[in-house]
Amino acid sequence: MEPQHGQGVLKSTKFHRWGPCVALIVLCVGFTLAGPRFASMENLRVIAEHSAIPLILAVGMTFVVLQGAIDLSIEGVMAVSSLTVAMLVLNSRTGLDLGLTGVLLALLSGVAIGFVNGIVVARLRVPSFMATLGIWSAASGFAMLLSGGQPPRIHDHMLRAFGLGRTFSVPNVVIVAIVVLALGYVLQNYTRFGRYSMAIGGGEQVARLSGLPVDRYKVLAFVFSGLLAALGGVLGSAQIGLGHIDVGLGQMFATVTAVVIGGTSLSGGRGGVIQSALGTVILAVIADGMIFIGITPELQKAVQGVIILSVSLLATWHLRSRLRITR
Amino acid sequence: MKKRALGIAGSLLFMLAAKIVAAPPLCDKSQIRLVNSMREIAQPYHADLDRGGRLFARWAGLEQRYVLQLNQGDSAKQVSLMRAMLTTNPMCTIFNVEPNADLVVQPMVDAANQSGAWIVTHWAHREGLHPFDGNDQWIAHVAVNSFEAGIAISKLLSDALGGNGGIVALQGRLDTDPARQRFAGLKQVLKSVPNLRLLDQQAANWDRTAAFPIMQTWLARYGNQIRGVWAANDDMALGALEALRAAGLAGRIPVVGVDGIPEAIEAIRKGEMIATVSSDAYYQGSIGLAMGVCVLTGQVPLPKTWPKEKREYYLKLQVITKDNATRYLSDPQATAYAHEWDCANLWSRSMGKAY
Amino acid sequence: MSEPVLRAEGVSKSFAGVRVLDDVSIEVCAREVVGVVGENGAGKSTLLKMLAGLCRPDCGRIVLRGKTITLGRISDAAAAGIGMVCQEQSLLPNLSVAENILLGHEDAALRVGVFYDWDALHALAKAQLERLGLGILPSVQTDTLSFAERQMVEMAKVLAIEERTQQEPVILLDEVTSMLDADQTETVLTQVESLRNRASIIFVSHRLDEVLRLCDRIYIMRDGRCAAQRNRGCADIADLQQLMLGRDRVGEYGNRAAPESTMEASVSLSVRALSRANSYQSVSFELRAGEVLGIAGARRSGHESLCRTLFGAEKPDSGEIVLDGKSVSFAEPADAVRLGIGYVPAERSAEGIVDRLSVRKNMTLAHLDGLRRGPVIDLRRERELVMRWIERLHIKLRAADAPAYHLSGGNQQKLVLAKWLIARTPKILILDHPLRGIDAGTRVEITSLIHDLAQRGVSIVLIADTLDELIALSDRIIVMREGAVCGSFPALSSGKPSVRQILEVMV
Repeated sequence: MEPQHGQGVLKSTKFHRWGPCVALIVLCVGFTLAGPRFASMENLRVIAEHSAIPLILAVGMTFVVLQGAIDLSIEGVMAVSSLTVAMLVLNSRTGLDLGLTGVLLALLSGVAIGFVNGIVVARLRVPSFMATLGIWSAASGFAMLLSGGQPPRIHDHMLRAFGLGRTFSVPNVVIVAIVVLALGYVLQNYTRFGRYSMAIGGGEQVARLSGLPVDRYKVLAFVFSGLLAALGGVLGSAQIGLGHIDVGLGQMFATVTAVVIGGTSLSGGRGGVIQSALGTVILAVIADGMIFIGITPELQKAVQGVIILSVSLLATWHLRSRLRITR
Repeated sequence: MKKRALGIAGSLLFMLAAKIVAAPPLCDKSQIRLVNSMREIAQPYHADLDRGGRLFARWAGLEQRYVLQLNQGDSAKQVSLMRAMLTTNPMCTIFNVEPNADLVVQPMVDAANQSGAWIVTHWAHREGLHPFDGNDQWIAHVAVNSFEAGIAISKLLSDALGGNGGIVALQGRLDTDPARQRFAGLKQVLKSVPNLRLLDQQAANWDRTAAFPIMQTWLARYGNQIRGVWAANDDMALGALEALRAAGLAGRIPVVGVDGIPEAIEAIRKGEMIATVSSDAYYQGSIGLAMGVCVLTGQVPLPKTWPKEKREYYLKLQVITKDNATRYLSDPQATAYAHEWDCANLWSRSMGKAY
Repeated sequence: MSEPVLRAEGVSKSFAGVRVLDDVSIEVCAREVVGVVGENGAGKSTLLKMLAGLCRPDCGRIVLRGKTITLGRISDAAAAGIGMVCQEQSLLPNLSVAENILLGHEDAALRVGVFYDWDALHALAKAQLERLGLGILPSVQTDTLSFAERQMVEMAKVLAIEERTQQEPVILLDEVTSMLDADQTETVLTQVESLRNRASIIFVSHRLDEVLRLCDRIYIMRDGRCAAQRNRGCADIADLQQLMLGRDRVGEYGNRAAPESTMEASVSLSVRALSRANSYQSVSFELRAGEVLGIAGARRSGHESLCRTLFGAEKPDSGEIVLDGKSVSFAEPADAVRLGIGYVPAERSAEGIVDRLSVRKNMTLAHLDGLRRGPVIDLRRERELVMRWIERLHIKLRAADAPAYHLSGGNQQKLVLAKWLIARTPKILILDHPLRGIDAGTRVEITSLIHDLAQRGVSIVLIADTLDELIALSDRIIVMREGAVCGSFPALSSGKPSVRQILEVMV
């Protein structure tokens, strides 16, 4: 008896894997034709650097989205971790100089907030949209409290040098992003955390009935997302040299957009970290390209919207079956 | 010049008259509420606005009656926060407002007129709107000549480049008057200096985290065609500076900004920025409250009796460069401003009418 | 007879006020196959679910190897060595077959206890699959398999319990063969027979011949009670049916009043040279009012795709569909509905009903336009209409507001039919495996309904589970093979073709 393609609602063809890739190539070619220096080594390095922090955030978000949930709190987490690291390493406000320990404690703050998210969603059964929205507010408020009127300036040279510097002419933040991506890939495809997250997204009821410890993995997903958001906050602060409550401004929307146009469905169970990474690179290319070809700031938002819409269409074209459910 | 002298004389006479014909107090001092309404607290400029307000409140013995309202860049929220406060004791409440956008001023003034609260606005409002046009609760509008500020820093940038070379410009939020006026100042200077070229301009919305990636992209695109950086505020200038730092260019390419925040002054001292303009955030954050207190305690007559130039005037700006940077470094004390908060000296930094 | 391995003693269960199980006691001994038969709604599924840990009895107890146990969750049952394959599939569609088979028990294939060793995982799964004689690759994603294949994977999943328990497992099979064709059924039955040497099995099925073949003992359930028990060799199909229904059995497919007049009836649907890449090519036929057209075909013959096209769920690449003389094309199923075409899908729980909605809402789903009063739904009329149809079709339920997933399989099928009939009667009704998984009693009801509709002039296109069914129900049969129509047989009651004749053309 041979396996056959059946009547499953989710028919997968080869095309959908390549949709975002094709979109990326088209964009790059287009921008290069419009402004030749777009393809220069320097600019590619800039694009890579601008993708780095969003990519880290997207990897974290991916696991949450695969489970069919969402984490709206990442900007708040970034704010808290930014201020935490800024106040713990050598800085202009407190007398502390904790160096690496300070960084680790800042990451821990992300873990803690993620844990709270997870408990509220998994145990208290609050829908993730609402729960993380509330945590976002709370975290932002807390960060504002920490910031007071005087945002702490980071004086720790090693941290600053790391944020702005390069190793073998690759920006350090890009190296971190690649490591995070590799870690995400391994987790997704080679651990129960990854596979069960897919399961939860594909059919939570069934997963539960099959005896999987669903709650545990939900909490884990939010913890991971919080951890990576904190990492993003720390790196962002290292770059601008401040503990800044707006270090993550706009990142939540950008991250969800990246995850979606990369091909990870918001209803869960489909997609992955590679797709999300692709999505972030696409967005970075668009943002960079628009500056490159000199679109006036007023038009940028409109153009960005059109491009994102086209990319989404391209990425999901193959799934246009009449009986497909679109949310 | 003559007009000016007459104006000053007139004011002095008025102030003398005011002392004699002082009105009875409108509010008991313990009733007075001081509100500072601004965008956010994360930026050093705003942090200083707030600090100035608190300094004044403490000096006036009203520390417990000071309230800070933050709208996070949401104009509608700025108005609704004000309205929420008006439900109790509006007539003894003074609002010192940094408008999020020009269009916010009208609804806030209307709210003050209707409820009997008092309001002082800063920076700019839309055309045709004036305190002296029957807006009796609108004590004053302290305008900032952003155009002049823009011209000042652009000239300094041009001079630093010897009038020759390519520059990039980071604009503030495009729907605000300061952003437009400062950029207009730049364009004016560019017109008069033909060899100075504007390579590119982008809006970074007053935010250094937005300015940083834009500057990086420009460096990739234009390389060493960029000889100077113009930013509509210090925060963006500092963001651009980080990008320059990453490229090893900090201190080698002149950068200008506006606001006079401590970090910028520090950078000027180190030679990484060459100029900024200060409206003195401490002053802006406190003078409106001081005016209000003077009105409410009866030490000056009601605003509707004031001459027009006292209700809408330009604030004196200070250009800060390497020559005078050291003077602005330390945190000011209340004593530095006490003289100007005194009801007799409220207009000591006026540069003349702004209408 | 040795000490029973698993025993349910006096269990009762009520759902939303309806008594589903009433003081039932059954037992299965080691290495025994016990059958449970009964009409839909007799309580068989509920009984099995109780033994599998999916629900708890209101009273009574469950005894495993002499010890009373409480099964709060599936994992309790699994740990006790009890596994179940149910009617509703419990596989995760977006995981691979191997992962589904070993779900929750991947330890044997983990490196350092954390990282998946995919080769090992696939090997383990493959071992399970091969024992069932399946050639399915363990690495494929489960939702690319057909329903029948997924059913087999479920079997493999349950059989994997054997690897994990010290003692012999108890395996509960709920209607595992209803959706399978002859070959697959045979495989499953053979597997079950070979399992008998190392497990205890409870086998529930509508196909009485299978039950009689496999089981050592058979429990007959009726209306939530255990009506009777028979040993192997002491009953035949007729006996069982009588015990199940409590009355004399009616002819299996009912009798169809000969519609001699169909030849003169008008042509309601005409299909010309319809083609769709990878499904079917150049299909042409005519359908008259009041005619029942059966389409026979093996798995890849394209007949199911053809039906979906007629309903507007798939778009043909070329060709014409002519309805009442006018050429039509459907942008979406709603267009087809508007033109008077109804479709009863094969997988009713996935595609026929919205399980969380109430029965009432489900029934009126396609008819809301007709129940409108201005912009608002006329609730009173809706209620009346629904009650009328529940009565007419004898749908067993407690209240019209109960959610649809509470209904048994057969009743759900009636619900789906009601949905299409409640509107104005459709001109054309497409039935995709309408009698699948339905017990004998309901089968008769639905069959007579189909005949009834045809009598009233509704044209019916029909795909059935077995050729017997198809022959019995249809007036005319067309046979498809690999996308093309390769034969046509008239099938009036005066002269029906034999299964053999059709098979010859079909394969």
